[in-house]
Amino acid sequence: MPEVMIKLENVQKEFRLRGNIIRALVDINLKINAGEFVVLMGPTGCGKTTLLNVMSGLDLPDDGTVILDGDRIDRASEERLSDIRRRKIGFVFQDFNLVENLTALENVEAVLWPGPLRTKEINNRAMSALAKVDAHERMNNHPKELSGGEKQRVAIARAIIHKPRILFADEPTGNLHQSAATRVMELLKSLNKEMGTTTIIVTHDKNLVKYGTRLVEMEHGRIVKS
Amino acid sequence: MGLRLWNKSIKLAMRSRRRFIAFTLMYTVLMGWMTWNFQDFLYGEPDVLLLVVSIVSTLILSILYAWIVINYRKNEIATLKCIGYKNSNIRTIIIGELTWVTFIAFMIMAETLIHLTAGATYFYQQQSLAGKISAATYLEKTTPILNIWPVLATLAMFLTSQILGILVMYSKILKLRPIVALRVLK
Repeated sequence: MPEVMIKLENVQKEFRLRGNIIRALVDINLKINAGEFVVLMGPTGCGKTTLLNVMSGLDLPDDGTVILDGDRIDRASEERLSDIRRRKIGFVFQDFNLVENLTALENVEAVLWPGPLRTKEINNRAMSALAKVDAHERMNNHPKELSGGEKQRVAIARAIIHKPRILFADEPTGNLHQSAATRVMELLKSLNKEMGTTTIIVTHDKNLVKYGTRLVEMEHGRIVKS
Repeated sequence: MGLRLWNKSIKLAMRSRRRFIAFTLMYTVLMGWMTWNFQDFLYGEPDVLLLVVSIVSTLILSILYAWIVINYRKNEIATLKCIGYKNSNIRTIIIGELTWVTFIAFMIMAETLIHLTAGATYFYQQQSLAGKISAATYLEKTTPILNIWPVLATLAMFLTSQILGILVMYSKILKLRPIVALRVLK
């Protein structure tokens, strides 16, 4: 029986917007197994980013249960969530979210700075992560000196340096042109195969479905296909 | 681990060049002014109003700096939280920047005042040797131009005001949830 990496039961989430209540997630039940490459799709405003945020502990549901790699996170404290994020989760964002005042290498290393590893070991791991995403030649450059594709590859290196169990990517190709987007998706796919990292990407781009092993479609806060 | 983050916070502070230079200069000037006010208060003719104004200015500047650092680095802090930084880790980075600026400003101020004192002493000594001023005037002018206690009192006052700034800033860090800040980005 495959290992369940993420399990959601009866998850609900509402937002208030100008006095109106918007039901972002309605009765979400979902199981994602270890090693899967899930593409979460749906039109703008259907709740897919909210679902990703809830699955990753960036946001808490109003009701329901969220279990991530054996840890119940739907009522976890911020300190506990930080700990889970540091040990188990890697994030890739649409806007890259690199720290402008750090070089590419330092951006990747930054994940491990608060941990117990020696500086030399952190440096070795960061260089190896950058080499894995083919960005090692730009390691001394600051984000403003990198192209969109290069920034996203550095962001992926940052997401994998601590060997996470799960990788979450929110519209990872949203700010990239076609060739850079293809390269980033092929990279995420190869990392999923090579490292066995469970990968969940949110997108509205139908061209990205082919990279996944499973498609989850959402509409109006509900899962309509999984 | 804490030391490494402290070290990185200094690096980050130095790389935010404009903010670093602007606040270091403001702190230096304010520290110099406060030292003279303390000097007058302790050894000369005390002007309580000036001293109070300089202390209040220091408090306001410290809170303003902490507030600017947090607001300017909101995206950065959110990102660090997303990649697993705890509030205490972020606090270390921010405290590192604030104390580094205070330390550098203090060193510049102390160095400047020492040179000014030495220069003035040399000037009056030459005047005295040339017979242009009397020995009594020389002693009156140079004993003391500046004592150590006003300098230390200024440092203590600045460090105390930094603690206040850090307290204000820490409540903002605690409130800043990663998801909220990432929404700001978009």
